[in-house]
Amino acid sequence: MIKRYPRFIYIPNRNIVNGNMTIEYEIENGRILSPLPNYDYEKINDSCEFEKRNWVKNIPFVSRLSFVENYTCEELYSSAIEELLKVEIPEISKYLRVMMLELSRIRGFFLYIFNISSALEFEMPREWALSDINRISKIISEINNNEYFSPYIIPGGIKTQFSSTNISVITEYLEYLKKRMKDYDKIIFQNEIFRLRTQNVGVIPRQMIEEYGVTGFIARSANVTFDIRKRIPYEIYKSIHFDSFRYEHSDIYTRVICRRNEISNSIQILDYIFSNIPVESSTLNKDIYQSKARVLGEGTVIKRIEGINGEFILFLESVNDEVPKTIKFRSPMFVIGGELLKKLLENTSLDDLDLVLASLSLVPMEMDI
Amino acid sequence: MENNYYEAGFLTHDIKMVTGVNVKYESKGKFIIIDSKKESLTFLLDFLFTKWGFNYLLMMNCGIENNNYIINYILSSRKPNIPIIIKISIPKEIPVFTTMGMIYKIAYQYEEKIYEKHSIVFEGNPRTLSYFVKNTFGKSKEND
Repeated sequence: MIKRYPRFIYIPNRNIVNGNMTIEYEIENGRILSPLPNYDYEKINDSCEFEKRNWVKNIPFVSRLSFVENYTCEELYSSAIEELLKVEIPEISKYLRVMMLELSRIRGFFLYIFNISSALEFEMPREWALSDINRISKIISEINNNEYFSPYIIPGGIKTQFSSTNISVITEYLEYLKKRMKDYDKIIFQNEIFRLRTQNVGVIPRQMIEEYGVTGFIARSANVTFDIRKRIPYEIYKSIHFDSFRYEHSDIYTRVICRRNEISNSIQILDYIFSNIPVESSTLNKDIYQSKARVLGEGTVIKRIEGINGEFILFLESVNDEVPKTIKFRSPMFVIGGELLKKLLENTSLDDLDLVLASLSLVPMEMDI
Repeated sequence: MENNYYEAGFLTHDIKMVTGVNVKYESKGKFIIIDSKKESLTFLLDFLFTKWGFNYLLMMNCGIENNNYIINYILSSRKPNIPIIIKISIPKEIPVFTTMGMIYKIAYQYEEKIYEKHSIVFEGNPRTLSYFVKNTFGKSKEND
């Protein structure tokens, strides 16, 4: 006879998951059985309809695909359009694009610390992370004409002019960040309670990572050293050297430590940018916005970029028209929040549910991109 | 760059020799396009997976062209840095195909998304059942 259990619906706290979602599950002896995540509350991306507008009108919609990885989506879209139009962008804008991507990666890291501390109920680092999110968001907004979510990376280069005051603001921030990371090390990463609570919890075997094609920090924490910035470098990543780290197996502790170490990489990259940034007045190649040059060539483009939580992919097809024939984004959340989450939550203790969810850095709005 | 071309040349030659499908290397975008028949897709994917290590299904998407559904399988490998696009054409009147979930586990999830949008049934994937099967052998309505 088949045992039947009542099904429960769990709504994670929004401090743990970056958006709205529910998980339906059954319980047996305090363990979760047959979990079913549901992301229907965030189905806002269906209305994007990129194939109905021309590529210029699509630009503001691209940055709205995700509130965490908005600059990653912009970079993907812009580089794909530039490849189809066969245009070169000014050298300085390549540096500025990488700068913005790395700043948003730092913001994503603090968001992650905020999620993890909320799940662990560590009040102090949670408050610190919140203040640091505000601080970095303010800097990014200052660079982007006081608007965080308006497009910054656009086809042809960078939308806004970059001033020397921005350089001083960011270098000052980097100095602050180096000191701040030492404080975070003391309060959370070297904390014995944190280590005991997270080690050997929510383990993702390497085999599962390879079977489902998981990327980003989750894959790297399981010793799958695959970083698009190194393997298929874009913009100026080819000329930048940054360290890679090795880990044994992907439990919550290793995933958090992996994210922490990657912040050192971002600091290294930003240091390189500010010591090598060329002096150019123009950051945008305006030729591509002239009416004659706006027709996309015929062809297919696949773009892959290392986002904050993993590999972002864009598939774009065009047939000599201003309107692209097919545009399809794929976020790392599609795998992490789908099959991987189901497998990971199966047989997990109810006590660890919040912590496992927070350690995956879930962004429900990216599921339906 | 040269190594990349050498790899691509060797790879396209090998695919053509073993599977006999149409293979084209796009040097501009640095990827390989394969037009495959739907009958030989399982063999082709298995060959790419086991011999060339294309164990990563980057994306699966579906479009409509000349009254046919075109399903694109985009594969990648951790070793050669060249993605492969495999195009499969399915007639719109018979929207039925085979699942690739036995080779790429994540394919089940992509197929489910395609099923939701275009109602293409992937045989072997329990999440994409046809209307008839769903109503005859599907879940009992006891819980509803």
